[in-house]
Order: sequence, then structure tokens, then C-alpha cells
Amino acid sequence: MVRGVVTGKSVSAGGSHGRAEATGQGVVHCITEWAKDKNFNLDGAHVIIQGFGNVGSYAARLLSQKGAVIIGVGDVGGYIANTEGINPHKLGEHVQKTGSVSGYKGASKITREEFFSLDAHIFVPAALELEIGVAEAKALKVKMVVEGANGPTYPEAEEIMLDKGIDVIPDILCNSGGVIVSYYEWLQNKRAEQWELADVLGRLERRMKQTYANVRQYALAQKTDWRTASYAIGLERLQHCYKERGIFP
Amino acid sequence: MRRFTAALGNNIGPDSDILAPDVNTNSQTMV
Repeated sequence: MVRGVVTGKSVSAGGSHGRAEATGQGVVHCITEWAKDKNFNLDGAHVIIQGFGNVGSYAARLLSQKGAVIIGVGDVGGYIANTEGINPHKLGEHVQKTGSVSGYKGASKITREEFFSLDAHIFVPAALELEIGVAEAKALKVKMVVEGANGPTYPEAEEIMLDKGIDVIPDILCNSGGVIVSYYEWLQNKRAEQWELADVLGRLERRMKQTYANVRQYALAQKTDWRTASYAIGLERLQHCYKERGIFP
Repeated sequence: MRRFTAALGNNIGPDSDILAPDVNTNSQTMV
């Protein structure tokens, strides 16, 4: 019995609308909020994305809709760049056919080192863990790193980036969109309901933006980085529960 | 995926642990 236990199901099998794009959408909500805070115009902003699977491809599409220009993409097969911008839909088709961004005709092949040195404003690591080390952190010219992947940043690298003035939005905040909609899928299954796409996306947006605001406020008040703030908020919620219920043993 | 889920047995369930997608999975895998 898979309903209510497994999430990420197709809609026809009892999944939720909006699950496929949820993680990428959540990443973009965080970028949007960051841009608002910084009075940064996303229209025309240069973005580089590592990984073009579920998170990377949806983030690319949604960012393009806001006018951002994808100038570099990489995955397990290699790295490509085009300062005029890469069309995420066409790239998506290429990846579907060939399994990698490598060989895409709308961009030139570059090295991994060149990718990390590209002149971009925003970097979305959306591939695997531990991709950003000291060398990458030193090379990056971006203003912000939004962790679409889980654990893409070495702690030493994060220190370097923060010292350089690069904002790092941690994975547990910005890639939580997927598991948030997984939660909605579980809720819908429990209640035998099928919410409309607009409902799911609306809830996701409100949740992401509210949480982003909580983390920002905590980080400011406690004078700490956002990763620490995020974990602290989570732990404080647990602490509150334990205290209130006196959970034992 | 189904063998994995079956093998997890009572450790997962609608009121205990819920599975979510990961790298290299898709909706078909999850179903």
C-alpha cells in the first residue's frame, strides 16, 4: 500500500500536483526573496547551475521566466557556457535525449574550473554533495549561492565564501520545497483529497517565504550565518516540543 | 524500489516514516 507512505508519485497514482517542480520552485522563491532584500533585479541577472536534473532544470525554467539569463550549466557529463544565455527548454530536450548537457549545440564546452569562474550573479548547485571546495569558493564571482543540492558545500569553502561577501542560502532551507510538497502529498492521501495545482503552489510559496523570513530574522538577531540559523530554529522547535510534552525516557 | 519498500516492512507507514524522491528517481520509481 503505497498511498500515504511514498511520495513523489505520479498524479494518476495518487501523487500531488506540483510535486515535480516543487524543489526547483522553492529554490526560486528563495532567490526571489533574496533579490527583494538586496534590491537586486532578477531580470537580466546571470545564473550558473550545476546539475540539470529535477532541481536544476525546473529552477532554470522558472528563473528564465523572471528574465534571468542562464550563462553556464554543468552535470556529470561536462560543462557548457553561453554568455548570451542558454534556453532551458531546449537544453532540457537535449538532456532528455542524450542524458547530459554535454554536446548541447546552443553553448560551448568549458572546463569545470572555467564554470566556477564564470561572471555570474547567482550560482545554484543542484547536483551532488561536496562540489564546492576551497578552490571553487575562491574562484566564484557570484553574489549568492543557493543550495539546490544536499550538502554541496565544504565547511572550509563556506567560510571563504561568507568572508568574500557571498550569501550562502543553506540546503535545508532552500531545497525544502520538494519535501514540503511531499508533506502535502501525504496530507492529501490521508484526507483522500486532490488539491488543485494553484492551491499546492500557493501553499508552497507562502511556506517558503515565511520560513525564509524566519531564518533571515533569526540570523540577523543572533548575528549568525543562515545555515546555523536554520538549524537553530529547527532545534528550538524540537526543544519547545520536548519541554512542553516532557517526552521521556 | 518495490522490493526496497517491501523490505522496509513495518519501519515505514503512513504514520511513521514517509519516503520521498531522491537523485536518480522519478515518479515511476516512486510508484
